Amino acid sequence: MNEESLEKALRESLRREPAPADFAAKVLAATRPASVTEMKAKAKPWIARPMALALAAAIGAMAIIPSVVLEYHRREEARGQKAKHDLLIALAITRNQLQQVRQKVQHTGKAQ
Amino acid sequence: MKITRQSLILFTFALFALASVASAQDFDFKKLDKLGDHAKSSTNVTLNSDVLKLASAFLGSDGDKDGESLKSLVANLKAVYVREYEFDKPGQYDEADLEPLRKWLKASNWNTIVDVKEDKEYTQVYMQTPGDGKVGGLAIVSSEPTEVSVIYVDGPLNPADIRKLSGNMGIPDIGKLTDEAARGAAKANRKGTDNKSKTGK
Repeated sequence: MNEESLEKALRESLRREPAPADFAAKVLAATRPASVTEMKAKAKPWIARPMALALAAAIGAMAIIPSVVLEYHRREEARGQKAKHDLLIALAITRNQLQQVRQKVQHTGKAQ
Repeated sequence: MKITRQSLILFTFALFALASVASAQDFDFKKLDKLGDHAKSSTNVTLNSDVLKLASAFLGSDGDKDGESLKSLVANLKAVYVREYEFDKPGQYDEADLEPLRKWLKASNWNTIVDVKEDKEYTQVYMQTPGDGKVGGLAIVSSEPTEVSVIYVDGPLNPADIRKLSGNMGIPDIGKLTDEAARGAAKANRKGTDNKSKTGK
């Protein structure tokens, strides 16, 4: 290959070619920022996010636990008051019976 | 399998041990429930050690000094059973229904401290005396033509406790207690005859 034909081949291969017709549209489409609706469509729902779930569970627990504890204390208080009332009834009946026994013993002693 | 003399002796000992445990078991107070079949009013109190502890924790909680003084009495008790039945007329219960309890008390080494028979009224007071100067328990069985009372207090009591039990100190009047329980609509009706009938023994 002589010098002239080499130069010709190089010119041929380095020749500027015109861009395809839709090149500009394709570049614009690739570099354009995603729209809000597209971002919303791509985003996961909050229920699928572990952090959000954990936060919701913590808030729920904080709301429920005090009422459960309060209810437990209320029931224990009611149980305790009932037990105290029953005990005082039992002791009062015992007292009455012991007093009756004392009277009977005294009465029998006097009769004898 | 060869039965040796040693295993036979062991088996006999185990049988005796089981028999003694069975006789020392607690009395089944449900056996007394039929006494109240025809009762016009009944009081049924069953307090085991857990409930007694709970009740003790609430004694004196409202600043009541009397309640506070009862704490020491209740502190070591194991159980309290009270059955009290009142009837409209004589002959509405069978005296024989009390016999299993009387037999059990005698069989379980309770000592008869008082035994009064007067007309158709029978009263027995039993005490358990373990020998350490204390009373291990107190039981009262009282039957009149229109009233039956059974009281069973299991647990150590000292003489001061028994004085406290038989006196007025620390124990509110039963009429006051029943009124507290029946606040509201029944209160007006209760004021008159009902209270008298419950307390006027």
